[in-house]
Amino acid sequence: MNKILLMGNPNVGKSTIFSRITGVNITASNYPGTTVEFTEGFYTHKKEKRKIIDVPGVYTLKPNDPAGKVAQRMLEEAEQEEDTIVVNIIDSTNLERNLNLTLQLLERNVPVIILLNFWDETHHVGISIDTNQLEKILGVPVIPVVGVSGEGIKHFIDRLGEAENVDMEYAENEKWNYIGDIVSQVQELSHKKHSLRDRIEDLTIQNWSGLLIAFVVILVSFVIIRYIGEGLIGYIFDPFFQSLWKPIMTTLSSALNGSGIIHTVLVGELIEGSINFEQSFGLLTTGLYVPITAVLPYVFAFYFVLSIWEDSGYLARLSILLDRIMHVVGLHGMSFMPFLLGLGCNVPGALSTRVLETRKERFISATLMGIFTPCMAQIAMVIGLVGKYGIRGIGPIALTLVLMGIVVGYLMKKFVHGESPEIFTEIPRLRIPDLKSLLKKLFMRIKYFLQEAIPFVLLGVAIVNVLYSLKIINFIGQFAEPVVTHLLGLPSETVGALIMGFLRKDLAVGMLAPLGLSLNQLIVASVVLTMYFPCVATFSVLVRELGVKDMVKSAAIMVISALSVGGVLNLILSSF
Amino acid sequence: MNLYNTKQGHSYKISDINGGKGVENKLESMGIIIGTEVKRVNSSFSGGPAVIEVGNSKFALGKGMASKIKVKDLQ
Repeated sequence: MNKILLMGNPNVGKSTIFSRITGVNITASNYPGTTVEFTEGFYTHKKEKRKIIDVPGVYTLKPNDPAGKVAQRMLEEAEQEEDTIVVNIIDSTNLERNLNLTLQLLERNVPVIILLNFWDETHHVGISIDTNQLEKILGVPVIPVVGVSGEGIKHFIDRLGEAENVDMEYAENEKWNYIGDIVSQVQELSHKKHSLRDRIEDLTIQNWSGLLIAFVVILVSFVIIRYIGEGLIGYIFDPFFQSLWKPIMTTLSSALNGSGIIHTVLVGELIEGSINFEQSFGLLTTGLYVPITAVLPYVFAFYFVLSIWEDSGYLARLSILLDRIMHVVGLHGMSFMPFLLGLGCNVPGALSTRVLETRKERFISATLMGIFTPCMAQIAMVIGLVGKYGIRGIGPIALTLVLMGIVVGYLMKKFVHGESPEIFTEIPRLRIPDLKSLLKKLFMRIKYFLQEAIPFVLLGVAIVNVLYSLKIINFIGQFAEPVVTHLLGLPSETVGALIMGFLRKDLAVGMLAPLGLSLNQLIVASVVLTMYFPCVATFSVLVRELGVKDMVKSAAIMVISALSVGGVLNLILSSF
Repeated sequence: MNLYNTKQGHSYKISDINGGKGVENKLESMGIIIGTEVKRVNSSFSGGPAVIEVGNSKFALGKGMASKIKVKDLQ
């Protein structure tokens, strides 16, 4: 036995069981030739190493969406292999619905073993299931487990070898009657109590209470993100750079005699005779300080909170409340995810547009995300720049981005051809998230961010240093000056930052710091930098996701909206 | 009566689904078929989705899809 497929409906706790039985060595990858992501890991039992695959959750094996097709193909591969078994994970509080997939799996030519997850919840909802009887009817082992606590997992591992390849047969048109029969033989219902949890779950969905709860959750989340982010910067990362890294850099600087081309590239310019991590702009100073100290703590804090939203089942509820608003821009509640992920980093935001159903949805969400969603890296730097002005600084920037996002989205809804499908989704129960699987997911996201961010930041710093030394930026600046100074009201030195914005938005914002801009100029520059073009990493992903033709259209929309919004904003602000 | 026009807190039985094969198959895979009992969890608000409870699961359906599901009141 060398491969195990974990299969089941969405929201049955597959990932929790996956992270419980796998070690640290897990990877997320795309199924070849598709855009569907799945996770795999390893598990060693009695010196035998087994590969465990967390197959995307599906309700049926009739492939009607990309995830379903991948599940189908993985299963077909498994049928060809000797040693692969399928572990079918069932939500024991929804036996009837889950048995639909189970019957389809039992028809196939693979050994199957069944886990009844959320076993602890069955008695809360007044359900008792006779697992022995279910085992007899289905002909495969049925094991009750609680993924979060690990109860029953050992028993499951012990019985793994008993997985059976049965050949279940039933008439397709009688399927639900057959399932009903099975359920009535093995399940007994007592009166279901309406618990406090049920009450809270309903309140998070119903219109007014739901909006109120959403408001509080979002507010609390922002406070937590800020608290964690600032805490990590102030107590860990910044002290580390100032007290340990700075002396090393100062030594390096004097070893290089404080100037010269190598000094400029590695250490950067000395600001008032010493190294300034935010402004020196060398590879080893600003190039490391910005992604690690200024940005990473916020990215970590953001994804930590987002993972809690996801794993607790709250995110699905928020999507439902936002569904109506998303209709304005031709999207629906579930297409909110790219924007949320994009707030962390635009790259995963762009990647997540692929799960949307139609071309129109993907185009609108990718373009809106690219234009109006500043990533955490950029937000952190903008706050550093205008934060001291409080709401007078951050307010106009946020307001402009949200309002213009709605306007541009509305126009795209009207003029982009294609269909805007509706929301149709299961809403999982509210649960306390499992810390272990939450941390694993967080770790994967942070690793991904570091892999994407650090090379681009270093490359960006290097290129800008070269362009400055060769006076190419001044040259481009002369051409761009009419637009930058007359339309946007910014000094011509900001051209350097705008060029940098193609590579990294956070560094671009950082380059504005030493220019001594007024508050109005900072607001215009921050808005234009967010809108005018995605960073190169996001751009390359978008080209892949949308195709060259749609990306050209998308980029045209971005540049036109950035310049017109920047110009109008400049007019409005300067008239006050 | 269709599912979109149902009342919060009331229970219904699905009597017909006429949304074409695609919609029918999607609903069927989640166990939502003719004869299924559903409870409405929220109230319709300006074209927002309808949330229903089926067994111990909850689903959100857009207005278009919900309007294509005919139901009988069980109250």
